[in-house]
Amino acid sequence: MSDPVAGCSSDPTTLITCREIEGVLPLFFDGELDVQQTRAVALHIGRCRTCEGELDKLGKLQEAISSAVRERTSQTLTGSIWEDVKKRLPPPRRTLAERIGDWWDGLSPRALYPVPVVAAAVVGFLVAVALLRHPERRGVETAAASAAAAASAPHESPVRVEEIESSSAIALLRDADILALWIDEENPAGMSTPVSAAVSDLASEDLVAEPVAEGVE
Amino acid sequence: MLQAVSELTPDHKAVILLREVEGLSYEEISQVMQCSKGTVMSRLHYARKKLQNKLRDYL
Repeated sequence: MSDPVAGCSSDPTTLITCREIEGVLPLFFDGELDVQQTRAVALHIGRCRTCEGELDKLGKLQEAISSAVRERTSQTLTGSIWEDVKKRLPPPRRTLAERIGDWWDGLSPRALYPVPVVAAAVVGFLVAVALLRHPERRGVETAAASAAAAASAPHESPVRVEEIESSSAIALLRDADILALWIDEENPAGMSTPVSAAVSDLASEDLVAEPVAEGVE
Repeated sequence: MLQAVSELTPDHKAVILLREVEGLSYEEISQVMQCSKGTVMSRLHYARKKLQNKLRDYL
């Protein structure tokens, strides 16, 4: 590199002229001079308005170029290029907590009104199920259990008794007994008459032959 | 500004961008462009002069 200010190292302020500074000013601005040369140029610029103005021009030019290029680069990256890249990227995976948070944020306050009611219903249902599955924990049977036990004993049902009493077989048997008793009263000796035997046979045959046919009528 | 830079020759454009935007030293620019350090200084000097002349009203 040529050294236009090498000869002014002993007394730089007196030997360096503006013409010489013009050649090394870009080097001074870019920091390419050594310490001694930098000191000589700096001393001259501190006293020369013209050279200081030239240095300011270099600074403004650098700032203008840098800012324009960086702005253009930023626009390019944040503009079409980045938009295209984003379209090709897979959607980011969201954690369960984030999804629950989104769902919760999406709920309107009005939609939250039934939540306590639903919660109470669920709790009540669970308690009822637990009590039904483990009745011994209550100490006494529930009304439902009592009803189930009563239903399991059909012989005590009055409806069932009435049905039995209304059947024709019982009625026929009762008539036969009355008839046999009447015959026995008419025949206190206990002798078996042909009439009583026939009635008894008839009654027994009717009982065996058609116990339900007349009950249907 | 970008229009003025784009009108520079490729060598001048490269050296001005490497210096003013990327902040490389003369030595680094000479290695990148595979030229001497004096050539870098010369190209940078002329590129700056051209830009200053074109953007005289804006600087």
